Amino acid sequence: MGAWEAPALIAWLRRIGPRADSFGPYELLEISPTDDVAAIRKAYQDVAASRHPDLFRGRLGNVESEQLMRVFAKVSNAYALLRDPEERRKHGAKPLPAKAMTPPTGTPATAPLPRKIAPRAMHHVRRADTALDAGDTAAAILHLRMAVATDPASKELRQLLADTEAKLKK
Amino acid sequence: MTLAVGIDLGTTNSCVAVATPTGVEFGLGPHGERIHPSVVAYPEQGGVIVTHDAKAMRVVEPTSTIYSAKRLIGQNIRSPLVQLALTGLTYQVDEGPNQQPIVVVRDRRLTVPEISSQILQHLKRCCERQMGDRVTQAVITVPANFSDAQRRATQEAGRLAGLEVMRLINEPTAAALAYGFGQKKDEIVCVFDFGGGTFDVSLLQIRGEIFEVLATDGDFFLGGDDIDRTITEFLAAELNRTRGQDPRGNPGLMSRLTVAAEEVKRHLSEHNVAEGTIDGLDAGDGRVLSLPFRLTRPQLESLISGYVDRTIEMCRAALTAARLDVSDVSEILCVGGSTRIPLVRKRLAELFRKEPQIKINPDEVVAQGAAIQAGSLSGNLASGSGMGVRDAVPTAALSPLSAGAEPLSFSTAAPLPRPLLLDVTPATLGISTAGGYCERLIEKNAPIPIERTKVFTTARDGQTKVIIDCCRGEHRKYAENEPLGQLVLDGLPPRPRGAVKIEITLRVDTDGILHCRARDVETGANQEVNLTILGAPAVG
Repeated sequence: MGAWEAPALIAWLRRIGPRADSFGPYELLEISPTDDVAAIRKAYQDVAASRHPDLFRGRLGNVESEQLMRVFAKVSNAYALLRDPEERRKHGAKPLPAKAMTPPTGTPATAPLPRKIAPRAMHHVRRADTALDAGDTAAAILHLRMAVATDPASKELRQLLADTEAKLKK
Repeated sequence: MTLAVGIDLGTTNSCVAVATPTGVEFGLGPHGERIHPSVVAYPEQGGVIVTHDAKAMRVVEPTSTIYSAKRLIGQNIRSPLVQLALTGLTYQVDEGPNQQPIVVVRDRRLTVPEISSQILQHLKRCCERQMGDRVTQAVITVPANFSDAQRRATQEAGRLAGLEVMRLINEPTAAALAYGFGQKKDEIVCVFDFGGGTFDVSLLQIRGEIFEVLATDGDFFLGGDDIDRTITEFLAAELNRTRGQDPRGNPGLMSRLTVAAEEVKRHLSEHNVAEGTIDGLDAGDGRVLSLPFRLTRPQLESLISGYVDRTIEMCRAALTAARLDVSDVSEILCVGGSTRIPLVRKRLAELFRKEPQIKINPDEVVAQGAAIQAGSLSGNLASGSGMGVRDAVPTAALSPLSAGAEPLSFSTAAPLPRPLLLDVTPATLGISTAGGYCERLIEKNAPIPIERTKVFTTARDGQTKVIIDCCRGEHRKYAENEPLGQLVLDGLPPRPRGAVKIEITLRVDTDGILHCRARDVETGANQEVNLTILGAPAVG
């Protein structure tokens, strides 16, 4: 993943900049509360590889440079909090699930995955699955929404989202 | 076209490099040397002499030849470590405004950035002469453990030398960049940087062109200078014992012994015994003495083992902070001249259960990394205006690191990779609170740039002014930490204690420099307050 184009970055800054103070660490890093430390590190590196202030040196106006610096400083802050297990507990992370035992043969661990979903949306679906396994329906919905946003054409995805939302209401 | 260079401004030696169409090229001195001693002399007859010629002046004019200025740059002269370091210097240092050290040479009073800027100007001229282009921008490296004041003072030195300092980067990070740039690595490396005056250890994860520092530790008062001083003390004791002449207190004699000590140290890195005679020691009372001496490697090792133990302890601390085991580290990079000492390499190999990487040149790799970062930030590396895609191959081939490594191969369509450095803060930053405690805002090893806000309140009824003391250090008691500077927020509404909420934001930018902001939550009045940094040159 390379650096974003300047217009994409500016659009992102407009969207997130004014609200960055109200964003939680998971939103800033674009991950879910169930992700492990390796995923958190990867998420930070991915945000850095696409939006680090160094990559836009001399390509932004003063206001945008300053805004990018502020937002990125908040992303770093989120990373510092989440990679520290004690700080992370304070930020409402679910305790990391115990390492999975081998499931008994015959019963599938999760419901069969829906088909006809764009591959690029699949990692959101997998994360939603993990969240469901951990009993965190709210996080699962979040991931499914991201999946729908990635692949709006998939009826199966929207159905899955609706089903999961119904589950939460119950 | 103007050039952007990378500069390793060292305690003992400096080095400059630039990313050119033919690869990373070093700026050579008048005698064709890549390594420039960080010495500045102000001779009796006027003018300024730098590097090799100045080093030769050290014995002749010890009180007007300034060496190891980096140990004083941005330091608070009242700090105990600085006071200790001053006892060994042959030139005079006074306290200046803002508690910064001022070097006194005859009737001139010089700030440390002024002295360092002479070295930077020399390096700049070397490059300009060689490349035929003007040098206007630079990336300068600093020890990872440098404090805010030390960084600001280094920037100031760059400005005085007529350079736009695009970025300060940490020395170990620069070394890792030179090692991993364009090599598509995915591994964790340990950079062990034991230089002339400072020691740093950094653990980095290199993933493609991302260089993320996981943890760093170090001591900006531990280096080859200390080893030299130990040997000098040994020689001084020998002189006192065999010739009945105590050289301590005689700058001329001590300079001679220090120069000899450095040679003894180098000799013992290659051989088991250093034996000889130091001639022409002018006792100052008409006698000229000569000192025969003999020092074996085991003797030296027992003299310096305390220093080496400390470096190994800090490696362990960094591993713990990064939550890593020694087996996670795939390569140990030795940087800085002091890593040539066999004892250092032996202890490193014992700790990591692996031989350290010695293919890299410990004196040049930092400048090389700085040059790559300068090329990247100035856009010359990526846009092809400086180093074209085609030209990237010789860069790796010329690199002292490339032995055994795969050559760079890019398709002409793909843009050159642009390295990204993700560094950390070297120390915990906090502010003083009621009762003499220190409230931590930014923890050691936090990723930068970072910004953190905490809400504080007033301690007394009707308090309209708060004084916020910032400090650096891990201790819970404010007084045990190193004071950084003060921030005053005035004009608060008079309220009962605890009713006024003050929001304090600390931010560390990509240069590792601290910015502080205070805001009265109720009125929303945002008071940007300038932090007065002790030891740093006054701002503005």
